[in-house]
Amino acid sequence: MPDEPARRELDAAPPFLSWTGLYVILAVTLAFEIVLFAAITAIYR
Amino acid sequence: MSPLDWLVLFGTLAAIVGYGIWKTRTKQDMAGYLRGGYQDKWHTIGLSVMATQASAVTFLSTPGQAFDDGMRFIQFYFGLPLAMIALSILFVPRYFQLRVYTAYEFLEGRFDLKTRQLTAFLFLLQRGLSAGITIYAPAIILSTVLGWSLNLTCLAMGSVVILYTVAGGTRAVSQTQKHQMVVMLGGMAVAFLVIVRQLPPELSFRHAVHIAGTLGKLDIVDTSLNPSARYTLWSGLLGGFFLAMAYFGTDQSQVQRYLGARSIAESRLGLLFNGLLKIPMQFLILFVGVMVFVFYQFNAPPIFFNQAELARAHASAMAGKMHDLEQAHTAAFEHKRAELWQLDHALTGNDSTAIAAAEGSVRSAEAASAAIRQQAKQVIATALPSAKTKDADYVFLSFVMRNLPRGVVGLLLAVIFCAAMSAVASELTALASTTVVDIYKRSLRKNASDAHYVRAAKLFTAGWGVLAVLFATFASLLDNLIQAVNILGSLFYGTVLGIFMVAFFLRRVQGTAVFLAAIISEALVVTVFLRTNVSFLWYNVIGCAAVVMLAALLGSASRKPTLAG
Repeated sequence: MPDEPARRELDAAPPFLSWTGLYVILAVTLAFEIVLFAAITAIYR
Repeated sequence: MSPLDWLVLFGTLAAIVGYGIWKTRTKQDMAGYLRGGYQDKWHTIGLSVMATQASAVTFLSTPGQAFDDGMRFIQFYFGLPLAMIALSILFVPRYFQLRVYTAYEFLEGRFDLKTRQLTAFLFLLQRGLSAGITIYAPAIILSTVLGWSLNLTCLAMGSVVILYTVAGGTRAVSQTQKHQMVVMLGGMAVAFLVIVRQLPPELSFRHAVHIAGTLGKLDIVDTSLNPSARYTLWSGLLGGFFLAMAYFGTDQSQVQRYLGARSIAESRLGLLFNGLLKIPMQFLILFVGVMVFVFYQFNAPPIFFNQAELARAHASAMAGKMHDLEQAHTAAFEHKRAELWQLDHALTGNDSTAIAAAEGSVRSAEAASAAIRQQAKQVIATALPSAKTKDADYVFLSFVMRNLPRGVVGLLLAVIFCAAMSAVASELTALASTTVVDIYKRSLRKNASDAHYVRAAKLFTAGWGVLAVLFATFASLLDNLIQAVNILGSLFYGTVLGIFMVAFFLRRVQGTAVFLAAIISEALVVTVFLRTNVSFLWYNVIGCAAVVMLAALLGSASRKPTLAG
């Protein structure tokens, strides 16, 4: 088990939003990019 | 090149290297030299991780790939953002908890020494060879296009990198990479704007994009399930995810970048920053290639972009045939350009029947032009049996040298040098830290002073650098070896990732089981490579899955049944 300061560092929140919020933003951005690229492919094929 | 270009090129490189050395001029202990002393903030980590992955070939070959094959290559990066999330959750906390210097150090605590040193050895083998290629690949293109000596180009690039990497260690690498990455992104953005301005003034940007799409350059997403198709949505998401997990999670040249962060939070944010920016960055680079393609629909392109080989073909017995093909190519270009203006006219009129007819004519004209280029490649291959007939790598640099204004040429050469230097610098520090921490300190010289290990790390950094330059110098003699080196990474990454996955998730599996599983899985991946035409992205999935399954199987078989008390 990590000691107390190490434990606190592990649980440290990001300077903005939350970790879950940042992960969701990244996943949604990827989904948006794939949909956008698929749309470009379909439009210009 | 004009004096302004030289000034921009050398001014940019000298400023960045000088800044890196100045920032790290104080004496460092081993933790500071090899791990960066826990000082870097998330934006430095993110840019450093991106700069490590972006080698010069990224900027030389990727636009050429878009010119040749369109933008489908971007699918290769679809798994990367998801891998950054998984690494932030799974890998980063474990590395920070144990305060490790290298990724492989973690494996001894979890398994045993032989598993640690097996993975360290695989890394040294693969990365040691590829460091030479990281120098050689851009040097061959730069020397051909600019007329510089190949060996001098390799030596110049290698010695500058060795200088600041030996002097400042990991922190010098991160500090220089931050600025190198800004130059790379800024330079490509400037290139994009300048290229769009070089298109005919009568052609709107919207119509330029339509022309690129008509000629198949905007087929970005491929949803087919064919396993031998190199880039599809599925191989990009799944194979790309495993490749990115392995590369960013277990390759010391990347792990070392985020181990230098001030805290776990900064390290995680740096990786997420990479996940957010990577796809837009690759999109920009590929789109630059597509715009170069459109440019050459209205400005006569050479029949073959490697001008040195073309000149040799003209001096050979096939000169007459080559001359005839060039005339036919010019005529085909004029015809295609006329058809393209017809398409532009139809697009302006918004007449769907006329647009469809013009698109058909443009595609036929492009097919005729491509057939002539193909014939020229066959003639070059006949005239010069040793010549390479793939000229896509030369498209972007020869475009830059011929068509971009003074100053911008120097800036784009600075982009290419920055990319080469940043990738090599990361490789050298990673090779040195793995050699010192996993081999030298662990097995050869266990209880020396901190200063001794810093000196050893500097010597190993210089040694690996000299080896890389030597390998780059002799690489032209070993063409087949270069191909082997490029494939090598994909052959090993899946297995190494599998070892780490077992370490994290199969807590009951011990060292010998995972060691045997890794050896068998590696043999399986090599067999798939030799006996099938499965795309290399899938090797990462196969290797990782095989290690996990075999380790679980061998682990449970080796556990002796115990009597319940």
